[in-house]
Order: sequence, then C-alpha cells, then structure tokens
Amino acid sequence: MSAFTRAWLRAEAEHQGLALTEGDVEAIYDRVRTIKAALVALRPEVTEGLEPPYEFVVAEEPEG
Amino acid sequence: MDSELCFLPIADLAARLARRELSPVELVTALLDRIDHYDGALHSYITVCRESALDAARRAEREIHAGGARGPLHGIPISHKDIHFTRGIRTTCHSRTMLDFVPDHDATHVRRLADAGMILVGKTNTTEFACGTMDVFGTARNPWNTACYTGGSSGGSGAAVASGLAVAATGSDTGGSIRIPSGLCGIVGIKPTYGRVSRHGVFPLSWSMDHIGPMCRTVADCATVLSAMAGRDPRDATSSARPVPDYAAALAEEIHDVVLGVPDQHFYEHLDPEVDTAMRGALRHLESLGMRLTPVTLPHAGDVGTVGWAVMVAEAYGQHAGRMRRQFPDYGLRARQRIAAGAFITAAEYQQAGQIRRLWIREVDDALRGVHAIVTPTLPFPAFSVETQNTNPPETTWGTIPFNLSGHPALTVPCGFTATGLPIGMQLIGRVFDERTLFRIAQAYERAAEWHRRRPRLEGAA
Repeated sequence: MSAFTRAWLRAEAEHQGLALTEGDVEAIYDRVRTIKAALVALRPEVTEGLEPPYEFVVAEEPEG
Repeated sequence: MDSELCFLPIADLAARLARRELSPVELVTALLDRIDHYDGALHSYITVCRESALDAARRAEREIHAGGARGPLHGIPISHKDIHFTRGIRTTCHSRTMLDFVPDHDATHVRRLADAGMILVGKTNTTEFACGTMDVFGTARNPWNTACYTGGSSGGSGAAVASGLAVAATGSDTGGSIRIPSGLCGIVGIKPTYGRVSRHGVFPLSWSMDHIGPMCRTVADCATVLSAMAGRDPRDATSSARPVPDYAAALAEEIHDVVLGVPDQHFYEHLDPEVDTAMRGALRHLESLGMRLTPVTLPHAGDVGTVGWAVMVAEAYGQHAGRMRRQFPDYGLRARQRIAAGAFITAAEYQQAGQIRRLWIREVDDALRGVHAIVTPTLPFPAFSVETQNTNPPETTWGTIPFNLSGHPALTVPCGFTATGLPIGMQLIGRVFDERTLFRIAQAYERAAEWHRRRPRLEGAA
C-alpha cells in the first residue's frame, strides 16, 4: 500500500463514491491514522496459526 | 399517576398480575402517563406506542384472567432500542436516512419477548446508527442530572429505565453501548457472550462486535429478560445452540468460594477520584461478602481498544457503503465520519486486527482461568454534560470495547454515587457463556450494597 496521506484518502474516497467534505477528510484522516498506528504497534511477529477468532461462536460443548 | 408502580421489580409486578391485584392495563397506563409527564425533558423515547400498547395490555389482561398466563413476563412492559426492528412500527435508527422505515418483521429477540407476553411501550432513543449523535429527535438526558448525557448508544433505554419510564429495555453493545449508558444512568445492563442472543433484525453496526442484551433496574430483572431473549436462531448463523439456563432461577442458588480478578493494568489507572473511591469501596464490600480478590494480568488491555475500533469501522462501512453512496449528506457528521473511516482500512489491516483479536481472547481466557470473574470500573468517570458530548466527547469505550473484541460476557451494576449524585458503575467480566455466575455475583453485591434503591428526583424534568 502507498503511504497513508490525505491525497490517498481523497483518491480512495472518490474511488468508493464517497462525497467527503474537507472537514470529513481531516476528521477521518486523524481517526484512521491512529488506528493504523495501533495496528502496526500490536501486529504479531508470528502470524501462522492465527486464524480469525470464531471458536466462542461454534464451540457448543460447555467446558468441564 | 402511580409512579411507585413504575419502579417495582418484574417479579413483584408479575406476582401482582398473577393475583389480579394489578392489571396490565393499569401498569401500561401508569407508564404512559409518566412518559407524558417527563419525557419531553428526557428524550428517552423516539416513538411511544400508546394505542398498540394499551391494546396489547387489554389482550394480556384477558389471557391472564382466563388462566392463560405465559410466565413471569406476561403483561410486563418492554421498550426496545430504535435500531431493533419492530413489525409495523417505525424504526428510525435515529437517522435522517430512515425516518420513514417501517419493518415488515420483528427482530428475533423482539418476537421472543412478545411471545413471552411482554408489551411493547415504545422505541428508545439511540445515537445515529448506534455510533453518531442524537440530532434529529434530541439528545437523551441523564435522569440524575438533565444537563448531563446518558452515554451511548443505548442512551434512551438507560434514561427510560432509570427514570421509571420503562420497566425494562433492550440495548445493543458494539463498544459498550449497553454498559456505558447503564453505568452512567445507574442501572444494570448485560452484554451477553457473543452468540447468546440473536442479532437478526437489529440494524448492524459491526457484525462480529454487536451484542444484544437487556437493561433493567435490578440484576434479577436482567436475568429474567435475558432468559427469554436468548437462544439459537436459524436466521443468525452466529447464534449459539447452547441451552439457555433459567438465569433468574440460578439466582436462588448459594454462591461460595468466589474468586474475583482485579486487573493490575489499565482499568484502575487515571480514574476520576470519585470513581476510584467508589471502586475501592466496592472491592472491600465484595471481600466482606466472602469473595476473594486476586490480581490478574491483562497486558494489552490498554491497547486493544483501537483494534476494536478498526474492526468496528471496517465492518460498519461494509454495511453502510451503499447507503452512504446514495445518501451521504443525510448522515449526521459524527456517524458519517466514524463509519466512512472504515473505507480506508485495508484488507491486510482487517486481517491483522483479527490476529490481534485472537491473541487478546487468549489473554482474557488466561486471566479468567483462576477466577470466576474480573472486576473493573465500567467507565473511568461519571456522567458529563450534553454540551461536552456534542462538542468534544470523551472516550467512553475505554473499559468496555475490549470485551466486545473478545466476546466475553460483561455486566455493569451500580456501585456508588458521586457527591453531586451521579451514578458509578462496576463491570464484571465472565467466562464465555457463564452469564449465570455474573448474575449471582452481581446480585449478591446489589443486595448488600442497595444502590439500586436510589431513584433520580427528576427535578426540572417535568
């Protein structure tokens, strides 16, 4: 992915068909930048075996 | 106007109805009168179903008098959050994009509670699509101080239950939207385990983080309503087939040798001094009831909130993309900016969030291995002003969203008041599908502490 910039955000918004105002762009840019930074800080080194969680939904047998 | 009636616990109301000392019509009328008197100032309802509620009450009265009582909820009023579909009754999601939407079916839990005999009184206020503001119908006001906010998103349910404008209500909780308004309004609310209550017929915010649950004045009321809402639903593939316990019956069982985990990171840091004092008092009170406290470790508790937001906005945008392309200007500012943020989370980032989520679930499961429940404050501060909410809202999901991400059940119960009379909530987090233990611990505390006996004065709200 290219660097996350306001220009990228505006282009992607247009691609998605979203009519963002400049106020929207600023607010969304700040929020998304925070989220992306948190994901980078927490991303696991070893990713094999880390399937998305589902077991609490499908594990129907109560634990002993 | 019989206000006393509107504050009675469900079990007391049910007993009076069964003995014919009270009719459902009297009860619904008392509630409607109270709504008429106070809700102009509280904005807890978007739609009040006066005629249909009275019709349903008359029907319930006939059935009960003919010996056809269906159970402890027959003839008891219920109010549903206005993102929960109600057949033939407008469901606005507090959005200009849905002002005329009338569903042709009930949400599964709405239908189940109706089948149990509950009477729909009205649709409660919510932030727009459970994530924005309350611009169209007015902001719900906190009954303990009407200059203060209820918390969101199920703020109308919180205000209505706390002020005796509802006997019980439903909410939905994606980042804390049952527990936050319950905590700030001084009532009991439970976000059950993911999969415990069907999400069918609830306008989705985030399919993997959304949970549906009851908001009531007592633990026993919540237990009774949850039993009737929960269970497998073929229309929601993520709903669990595990049998639903009779949670209210379980409250009668003695509880012994309870061990409670107190996190040594995040949850007890940077608390408002009055919340800190109330929580320390509540922990001492739990110990005095024979419960043992032990430290537990949740090293990533302070970090995973943002991961929860990543999942929430990505899934919310998935839901809203088409409506946003068609009606973007009709969305309120906060809802559209929060939801549209999801358009800029990449697939790789969504996957990473899922991987972090798996590690977080393991962390919570590990912390719960040696304890029956974890105890935290529900919020780090008491209710704040409506003006603050509308201009610069504080982060309220601080202690709640981690357990939307993990799917564990979490309940809030009142644990004190500030010097100015604002409620403070204590959160209990349990093992998956062990809502029963949470109810038993919470009720033991509630009975001993008796915070639930306080009522808001509603000065200036009439």
